[in-house]
Amino acid sequence: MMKTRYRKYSPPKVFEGIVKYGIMILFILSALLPLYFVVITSLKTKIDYAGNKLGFPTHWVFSNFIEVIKSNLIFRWILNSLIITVITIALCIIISCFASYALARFRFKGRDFILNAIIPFMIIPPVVMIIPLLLVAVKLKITNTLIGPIAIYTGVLLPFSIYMLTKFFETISQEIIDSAVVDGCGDLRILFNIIMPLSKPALLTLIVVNSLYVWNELLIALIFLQSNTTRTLVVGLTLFKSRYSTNTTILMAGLLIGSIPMIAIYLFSQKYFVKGLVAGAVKG
Amino acid sequence: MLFKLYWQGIFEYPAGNKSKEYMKKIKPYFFVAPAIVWLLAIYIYPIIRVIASSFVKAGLPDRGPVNIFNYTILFTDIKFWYAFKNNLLFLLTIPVLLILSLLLSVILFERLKGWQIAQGVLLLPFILAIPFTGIVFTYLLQYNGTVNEVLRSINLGVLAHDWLVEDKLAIPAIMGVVIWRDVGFGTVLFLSRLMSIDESVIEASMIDGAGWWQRFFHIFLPQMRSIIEFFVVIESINMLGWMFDYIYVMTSVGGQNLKFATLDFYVYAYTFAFKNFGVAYAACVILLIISIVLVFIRSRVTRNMVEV
Repeated sequence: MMKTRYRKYSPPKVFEGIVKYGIMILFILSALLPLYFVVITSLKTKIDYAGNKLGFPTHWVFSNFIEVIKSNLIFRWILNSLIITVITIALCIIISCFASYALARFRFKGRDFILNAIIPFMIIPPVVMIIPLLLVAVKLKITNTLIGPIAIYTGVLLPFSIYMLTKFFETISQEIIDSAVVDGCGDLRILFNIIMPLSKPALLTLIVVNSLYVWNELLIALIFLQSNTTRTLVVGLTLFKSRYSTNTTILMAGLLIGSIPMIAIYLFSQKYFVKGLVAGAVKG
Repeated sequence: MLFKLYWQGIFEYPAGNKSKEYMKKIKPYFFVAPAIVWLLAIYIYPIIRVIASSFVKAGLPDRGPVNIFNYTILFTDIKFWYAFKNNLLFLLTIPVLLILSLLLSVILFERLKGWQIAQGVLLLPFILAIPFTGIVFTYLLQYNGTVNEVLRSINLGVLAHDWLVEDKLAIPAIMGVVIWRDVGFGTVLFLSRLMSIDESVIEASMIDGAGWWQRFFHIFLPQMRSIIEFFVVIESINMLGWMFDYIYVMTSVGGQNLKFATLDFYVYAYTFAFKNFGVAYAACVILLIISIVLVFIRSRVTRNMVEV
């Protein structure tokens, strides 16, 4: 049986091979460079770093990490980011599943309008909405609570989520749904027990991509969460820069601690990140 | 009361119940309602508010007659044109991104050993938060930073500059970081597309003796046309409206006189630093106009897209 994957048939020319490998390795190294720098710097003492910026630490120290943890609320920030991300994603999934269910399954007046209108929302930068939303938040006295960002992020993620889920729900075979209807299933039953399990890959991908956005988001978190106990991890990291401006080693330790959550998740679910990024390229 | 009706609407009318035709027609609206309400609150209301407020002096709709005062300030403000110019400069990263991503994706497509690890590693910069990588690069690019030290140590000290501070170097330096970050995205995107090309076409071409360049130009490139267009549109959207993180982290104040700002940073600066809401509103409207233009471009482009 013929291998269905593409393989080079022509005898590999040595020079070509070296060039290709070379380029690949070059880019891999450059992609890893900052991470490498952060790791080795955070393990050095200040003196060590001053004399030896790019090389390995002469001896490993963990004092930088301890200093970061001691004098910052970094774990609180991680918790805040986590809470915001989880609640936002939950809200987003629920609301967009409901909406996509109707958009995918029913023909109703306004359906096409909604589907077309949703696309522009994905392009508008959130900056545009910030001022009025901030004024509202002040009026409602919810500045500096996690509620504001959660509500905003949910709103920002809805267009993309609804768009993706509708496209996906449409691919679910009508027969399964029809037989469920015949069996007397209500809409909610159909949605939760049939459509959602079948959409697991799409949902997982959506969750992963949306979480990435919320976790890494800077502008909204910066503006709406300003007290030390409510801010998010990413905002906290930007503060490190001015706080430890002369203490590069401590700064790098802080950055490393702050990026571990996302790196860890990425290592475990890389497949979904790739899928999620590509998913935007489905026919518009 | 309203909520009870709503709850009834969703729960009590089974999908196939013929005797409640009217309910059946209304049902979809119940499902779509939460999303619509949310979008109205988070998108529509602010946008209307912003547009309305931009046409009034002092930024509040009930103060004074409609005029274009804010816009006259905006268009005569050199900082605005700096910002606009910078956004356009960032668009220049797109050809570079395109070439590098195409190159890498084609190389990875040949499935040299370790290509999957390569794909994962290349995507890592895109996954890491911009503040994280931005701060690291800020340190690398400092006057006493690593890059300059390396240059000095190989006797190219004359090339050592304060990369993020000097006028002509700051934006290109940030462009470099943007390229560094987005290359992974493009590569993964193109690679996925390549992997869905029909095998038999490639094999047939190899049997016919097609060389690497011919394969590239006559098979790969045509098939990738739509995903390339998509990539260009996405990156354009990024460069024109989503650059805040980079500027904030790498130049903290957008440079002297907002020389290094982009439009979204400009809005931020005018709102929180200069406290001039009127101009901020006007700039927001400009961003909205740009977004609308991008929407049109995007819809023209994706009209011909094939599912990846």
